[in-house]
Amino acid sequence: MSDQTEIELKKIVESAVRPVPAPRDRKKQMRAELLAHVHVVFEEEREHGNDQAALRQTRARFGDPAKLANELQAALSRSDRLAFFIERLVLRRSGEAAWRCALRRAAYLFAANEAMFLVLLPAFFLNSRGLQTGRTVYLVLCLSIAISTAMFAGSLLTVALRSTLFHRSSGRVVRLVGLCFLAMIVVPICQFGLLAAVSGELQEGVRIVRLALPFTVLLPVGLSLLAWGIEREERDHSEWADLKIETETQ
Amino acid sequence: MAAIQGDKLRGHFETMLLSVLQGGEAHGLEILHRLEQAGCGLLRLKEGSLYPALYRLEGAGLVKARLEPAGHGRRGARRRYYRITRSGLRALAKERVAWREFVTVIGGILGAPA
Repeated sequence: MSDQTEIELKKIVESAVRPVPAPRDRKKQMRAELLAHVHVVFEEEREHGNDQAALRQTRARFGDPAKLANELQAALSRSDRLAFFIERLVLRRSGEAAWRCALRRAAYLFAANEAMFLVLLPAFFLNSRGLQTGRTVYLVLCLSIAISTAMFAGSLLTVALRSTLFHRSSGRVVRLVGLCFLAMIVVPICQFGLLAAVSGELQEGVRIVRLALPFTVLLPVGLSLLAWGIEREERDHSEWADLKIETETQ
Repeated sequence: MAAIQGDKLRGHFETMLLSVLQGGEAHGLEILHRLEQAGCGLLRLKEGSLYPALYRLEGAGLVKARLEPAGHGRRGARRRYYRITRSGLRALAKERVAWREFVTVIGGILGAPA
């Protein structure tokens, strides 16, 4: 099978899958399954004619992509819809600046933390009979700020690590070492140092940061693995997302 | 006999899939071939429509899918194999009873009892 035929078969599949509001993992599974199907259909049809005729027949047997997209959408489960909603919130949008995406993620995390705490607040209140509630609210607020700031820093560092690891540029090694060092220092300081500073428990904070520092060598490894995962996912995604399907070319 | 196409199958397609899967696990194309065989070549399906129906059945817990292991020794992508679950078997039995009742009632009205 020629590369061009492979692309045409992928286009048949993508015309049906792209409009479906499903999370990436689900779409990946749909694409793989439908592509495996059209491959076999194409091979069957090619036994009766040339490549062009086989492609036409494959399209005809596959059905109207718009109709199929609607059917696929209707078959999505609630968890798929929820995952898609969350993905749209947290994934970097096309053309979006890295800092803006990191800020958005941090804001969503902050809001999610606060919402979760508001749900749990009555339990806190009942448990402590009103005592210390003000202090608890303040500490939770501090913790949310610290977690969100760590998320902001972690997101930015992951983007920088991904671009350094996978896109060739001069001074790559120096940048990589610098980023790893930053990851080891910035994230724990954002997480524990900031929490300690805003909550007034400075001495305790310094102690925790000091305790945490030996373990922070794992952070660059973790963030690099995350960057590798994102890179792989994005390459896989762009292989399909870059296809020009009929509804777009018309 | 005229071919049976999309609209006439509405409401029965998923039960038909459960029925062919009762014969053992199968991947998408094999399910279609079994349907064609069982329908004596008179079923005309848009093949893509098979998958949303399978996903619905999977979502409802009536079938379970497993991915073909890597290194399957065949050209092309890994296939997903579907098998009917216990809930699927129970749903199929119910649908068969409902179908018999439907055929009896409508057949009686049309003057063409089953």
